[in-house]
Amino acid sequence: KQWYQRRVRGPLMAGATRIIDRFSTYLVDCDGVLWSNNQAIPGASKTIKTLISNPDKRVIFITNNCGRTVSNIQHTLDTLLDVPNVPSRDIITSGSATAIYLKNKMDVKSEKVYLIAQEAFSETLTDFGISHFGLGPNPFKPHKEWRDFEVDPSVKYVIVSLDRDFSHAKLTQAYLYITENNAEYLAPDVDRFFSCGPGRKIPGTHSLQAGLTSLVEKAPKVIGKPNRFIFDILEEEYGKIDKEQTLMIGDSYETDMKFGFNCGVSTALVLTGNAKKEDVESFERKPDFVLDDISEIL
Amino acid sequence: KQWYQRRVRGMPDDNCLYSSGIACAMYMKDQLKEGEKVFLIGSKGFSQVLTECGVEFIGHGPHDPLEFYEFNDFQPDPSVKFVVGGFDPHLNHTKMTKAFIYVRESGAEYVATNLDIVYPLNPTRQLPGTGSVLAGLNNALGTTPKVIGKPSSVFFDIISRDHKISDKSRVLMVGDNLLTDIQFAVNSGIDSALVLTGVSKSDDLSENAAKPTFVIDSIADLIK
Repeated sequence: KQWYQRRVRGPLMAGATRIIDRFSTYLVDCDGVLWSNNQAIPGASKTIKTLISNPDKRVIFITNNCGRTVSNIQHTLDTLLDVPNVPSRDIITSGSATAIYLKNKMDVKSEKVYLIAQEAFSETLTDFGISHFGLGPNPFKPHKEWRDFEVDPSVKYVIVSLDRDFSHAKLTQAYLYITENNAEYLAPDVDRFFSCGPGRKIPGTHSLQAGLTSLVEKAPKVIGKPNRFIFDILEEEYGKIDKEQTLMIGDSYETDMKFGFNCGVSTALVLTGNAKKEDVESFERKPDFVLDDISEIL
Repeated sequence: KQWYQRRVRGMPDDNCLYSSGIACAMYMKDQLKEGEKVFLIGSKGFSQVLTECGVEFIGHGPHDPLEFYEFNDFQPDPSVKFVVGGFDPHLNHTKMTKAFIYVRESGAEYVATNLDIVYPLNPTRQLPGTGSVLAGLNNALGTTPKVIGKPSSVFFDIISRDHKISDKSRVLMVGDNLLTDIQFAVNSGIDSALVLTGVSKSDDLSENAAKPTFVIDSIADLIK
């Protein structure tokens, strides 16, 4: 097999020539690994079906895309990969991870969340019982209205994520909650670009956060990959996870691979998404495996 | 321009008042050919300055938010040669993304009036300023715009060319802000006088700050 020729790690166990034989827990990124631009990546369906049908293997889907709800991912796994009925506990988005973080930390009776995001994130927060506001257009407020704007002191959390309605007014409101209430500044992810189609990338979450970050002179707390918070959530859900037996599969060095490094698990980079073959040379730490696509684990 | 002239009475002639907006407009006008335009991120005042200076622009005002996938079909206008940034309360993700595409894909030159992070509203509250407004665009592009306003010496080049200033040693910059006015003088190679009636105070003078040639209590001291 080609992956074997590219990378050999020490003496192999008898019979364990395939990656699938070496690991029992698989943490799998979605965009760029399983699907891209709403189409399944060839080989992804077969791979996931093989893993899921094996009772000794466990697959957990981890995505930084808070523009999708958990049930949306379940639906996509069904329609694009023909993998139905994936339990929701096996799917984590940066949105659901943020909701869990808030659920553990905030005082729901007295504290509120100001949300800059799309509908899916708002749905996710509602599913977890986190009350929030700020969704939708907030296009413009003249200067004199900002002078009299009442800053609600119970707003203790500000979330900034990709939002087509992001505006100066929203930026200003977030700024006021952080500076006047000392609200905690949270980011589900810090992706610089969003792929709007095959040929074009547009400013992403990190760009929206840039203005606020320089204003408040403090970077946000990142909940999603590469922060290992998601791994901690999984261990709370499933109990201790054997890191030696765990493989993180993703298409992005900055989020997926670094997440794998931070959690102390093995890492596999696929070349069907963000990363290109030429990029691998420049990584300061090499992933354990570099695969053309996810089906190479079979 | 007219707004400024209404505010300051007794202006001798039209040609002695420059704002960073005017400087930007003149800088671009120099390079724009017939039929070429700029993409404007800026206020109504700035749009009026551009009109007065004969610079054609598109993009001013509010933009209806596009869905992310709709950007796949966005066709940039090929006559746009500059993206110019100023303070703009109408800036949203859609406007920022169009500006991004003009700079990144169409190769438009990216200039700005200033990059001030905050805009002081009153003594206790500030608003995000031009710098914060443009920060998202700068972050996505990985560059900052060419700043035409103070403290950039480009501003001086435009003024000195307009007024045919040949001897820089006869020029004095009078201002109250070490970071913008005095730094501007230093960058342009001219003398400066810091007045203490505004932003900067004597304790702000230090080895690390721009050094004014003179420090005076107020502008009235010039004629004493």
